[in-house]
Amino acid sequence: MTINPYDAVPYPGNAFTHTHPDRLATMATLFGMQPARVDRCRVLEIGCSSGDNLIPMALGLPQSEFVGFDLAARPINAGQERIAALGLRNIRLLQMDIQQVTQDLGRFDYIACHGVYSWVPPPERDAIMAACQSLLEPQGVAYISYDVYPGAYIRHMTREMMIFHVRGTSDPEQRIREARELGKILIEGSAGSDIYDDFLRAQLERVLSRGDSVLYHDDLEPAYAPVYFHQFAEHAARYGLQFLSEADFHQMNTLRKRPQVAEALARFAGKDTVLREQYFDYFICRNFRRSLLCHQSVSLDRGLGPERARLFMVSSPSRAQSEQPEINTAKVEVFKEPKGAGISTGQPLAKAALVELGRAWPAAMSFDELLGKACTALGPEAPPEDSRANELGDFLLLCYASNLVNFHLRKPPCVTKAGRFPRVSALARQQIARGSRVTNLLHSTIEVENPLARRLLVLLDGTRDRAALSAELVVMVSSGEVTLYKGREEISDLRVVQEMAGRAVEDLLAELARLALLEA
Amino acid sequence: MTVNLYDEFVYPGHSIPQSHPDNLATLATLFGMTPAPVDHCRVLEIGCGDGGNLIPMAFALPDSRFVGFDLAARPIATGSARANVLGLKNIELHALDIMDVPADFGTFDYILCHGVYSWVPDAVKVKLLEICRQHLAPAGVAYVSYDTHPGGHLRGMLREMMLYHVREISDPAEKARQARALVKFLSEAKGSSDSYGSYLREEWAGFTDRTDSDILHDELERNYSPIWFHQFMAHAREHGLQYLADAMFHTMNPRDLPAEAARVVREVAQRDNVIGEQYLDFLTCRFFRRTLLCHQDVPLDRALPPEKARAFYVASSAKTTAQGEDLRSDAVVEFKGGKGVGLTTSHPLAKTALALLGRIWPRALHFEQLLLRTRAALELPPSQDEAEQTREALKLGDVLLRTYAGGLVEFHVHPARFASQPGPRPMVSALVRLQAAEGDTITTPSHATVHLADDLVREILKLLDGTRDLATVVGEIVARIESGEIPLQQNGAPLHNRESVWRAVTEKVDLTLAESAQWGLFLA
Repeated sequence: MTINPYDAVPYPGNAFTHTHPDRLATMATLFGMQPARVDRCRVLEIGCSSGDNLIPMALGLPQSEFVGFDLAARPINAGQERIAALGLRNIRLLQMDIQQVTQDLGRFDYIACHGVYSWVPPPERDAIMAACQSLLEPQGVAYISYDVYPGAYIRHMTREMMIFHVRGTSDPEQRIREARELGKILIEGSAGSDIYDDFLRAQLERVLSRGDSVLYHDDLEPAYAPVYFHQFAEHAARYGLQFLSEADFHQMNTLRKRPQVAEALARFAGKDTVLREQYFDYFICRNFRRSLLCHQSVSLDRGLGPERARLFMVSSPSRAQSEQPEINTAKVEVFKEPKGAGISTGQPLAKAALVELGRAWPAAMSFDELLGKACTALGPEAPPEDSRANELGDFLLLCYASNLVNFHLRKPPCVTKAGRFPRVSALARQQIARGSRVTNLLHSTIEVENPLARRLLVLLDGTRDRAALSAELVVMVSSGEVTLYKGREEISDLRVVQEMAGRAVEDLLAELARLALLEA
Repeated sequence: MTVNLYDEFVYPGHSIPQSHPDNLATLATLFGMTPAPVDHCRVLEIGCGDGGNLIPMAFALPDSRFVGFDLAARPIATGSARANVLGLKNIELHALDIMDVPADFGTFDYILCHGVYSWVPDAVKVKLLEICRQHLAPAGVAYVSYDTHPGGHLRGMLREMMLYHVREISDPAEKARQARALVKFLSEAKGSSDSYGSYLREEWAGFTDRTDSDILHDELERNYSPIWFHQFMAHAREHGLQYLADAMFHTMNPRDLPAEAARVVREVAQRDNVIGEQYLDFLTCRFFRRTLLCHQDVPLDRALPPEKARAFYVASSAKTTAQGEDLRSDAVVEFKGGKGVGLTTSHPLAKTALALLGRIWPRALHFEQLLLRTRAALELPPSQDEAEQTREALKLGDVLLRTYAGGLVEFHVHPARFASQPGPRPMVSALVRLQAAEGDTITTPSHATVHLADDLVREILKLLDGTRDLATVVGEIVARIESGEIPLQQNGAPLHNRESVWRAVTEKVDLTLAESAQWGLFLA
């Protein structure tokens, strides 16, 4: 009997924003499809492991139905226990082989398959495509992530070295240890060309920075088959599926602004979307893709007119770089989001919109609401609201292409500021009891490092107001469970702790709100 | 019918110095074999093209026999014609499919196969190694070169992009043009300073001085399968062949590695030398290997005690600025070779020997002769003490082995013969004159390929047949310039003044003679 490697070393669970039906529906809508409503849909996840991606979706979308399956039985059992503990009735996890998928599962509006395609043999890759073809509704959207060349060559290279190095060892822990040893030696000792050293070091540092289980599966599994994007698209086409878009809009457009590149793309690829994407990959040495597919019979509309933006809710974590951005003048202001993407503009309406979105983050607002708020902020002298929808639409699409704003079809259920009885999701409370990783209300995995925040999270079930939370905090400090700091100085005087508790709670709530963890 | 790509675009043949029987015999001797004498041996080259590698060998070793074959008929015809012009009786070139090599093809002391293995289907790879097994003499040495990882992965990255880009083009010239266009574009579009940007720019820099046929053969050939060294050796073992050495000895030895990496390589190598070298490839991003193989049952002696050096001729281009007292004293002196390799030593014997070799480069001296001349240079009195003599020889042997391992000196068993200086009527070989007449690359007696700077150098070399003195050479060239037969320009403008033409040609002839002496072109 062969042991399923995912039974031996479970893959760490995560929620992947890009696989959420809201994201799939958003991209489908952007390109002219009529996808199923996110809050009334059927979702399938192929290779769902213990359901860490699917369970938060099921919890947040009680009227939708979720099915996940995985070949490894242990994670499935663990997921089923969590589902039972949360009392969820709209999700099923099955232990099943992808080759055994039949129509009995029913049809799905959204199918997600993350981190499987590149790590399974050809028959399984075929089976993934076949499942998408036969199980997807006519307006359904499938998400598949996979490693792509040319970037994956670097990973291929380091993987083969590591696999060779550990060839004499079968014990998982020792394989991981030996692979790490080799990685370190190569990082320190690499003496090829500068370019090789750079490639090698960057890749190995990435590999070594990840957890043991990721290293074990992604870099020591013998099966690894990256493809070129055009090969992936051809594979999909053999199963009657076409490329809709990347799950990240901005990853299709990173180079849009460079005229030299645009000109060459037109020359090499014309209007062919797959070809254009392929050449993009060449430019940026892409190593990973999250692609969305739909049936070949669906007609897509790739013209992105400003009116498209009106279909969405918008949110943005971006902030103006200057303290007091000038909105009403033509002064150029720079806005940046926390991961570093930025945009600079002197357009009053654009600036006003980003300021409003930043203020509301993480909450989203409809296009019209945003337009109204921005125009109000600009004052009565500014041109009237109804003439400016296209101006704002164009700007928001540009921001979306630059990863500065998010588009949604369903309002994420998070609040900008904590209410009277602050609350995080039951799932987040369950997760924080297991470790430091929680799923936020935008379906991202968040690492909560602050021990105080971890303790507080458990208490945020909507039954405590700020006074009650402060009192609990004082108890925790006095029992020595957590420590409060003023600057770097530890505070032991209980009176000072009592004075500071209210402020500390307020700061933590603000931080949790910013991380999109607060439901109320 | 499939067209042989190598017929359509002739792959320019040139000499592969590392594949010369002298180099193969040297490494075989170093590791304890008794290979056939280089001047009386039988050599087979698989995929010999137009004989660019084999003809210069046959020319220089008249008592050895050379057989080459290639699938492409046109280069074979060109090569055979060239061998005829040179009057060579010791070489045969055949148009032959490797799969049709008959069992009675004969036995060879050296089998060479350069740039084939990575570019052919699996069945041909198998046949290639099978020929090495069946047709190699018991003490024979085979040379097989191939593309290897991890470098092959980097190379494959750009290769596949080009292949996809030209997928619908059938005209070879257009293919090469489009491949160039893509790489040029990517290298320019990728303005960023990340490693991918540097990679693209470096690849493009490498493209600029490559011909269309280079690009077609090296980059756009369909079959391309680089492998890891350990995989190649596993394949060779299946055919009863074992690893003898790398044709470039210095690549077998860790250099400039951090202590921890060097320790790991040494530790692994002690258990299995193939795997030790595999880890070196990991660390140095090896792209290409030239592997020497011999029969599995040949006992090898991998120990390298200093007395082993005494069997060889040595040569070195190492240069030092130090002289006189610095060489005789205990002062630390640095020697530098090509490609950045260097050595610092304070030992008077080592310093004097290396300085001596550098002065007479490219000539080689036998170890014992080098020892004698070094002693003389150090003005040591002739020693009667045998133990003392042995100690000195071992010291020199130790230094030479280490500098050989470092890539600073060459070892030979059969060094090329040539004169250090041109005589009053300078003479280069009929081969060099023929090559200069045909194109801009020549093969030196040491089997190196040299690219000639311009047409004037070619014209000068063609005249060096031992019948003319320098004044006659200059006079003939000047006359042909004046008649307009040879263009001569200086700073972009033609020269009109007779005296300046004369001066320019004299300088050029002097320079050409000096360079030719450095390349070892003059016949003794």
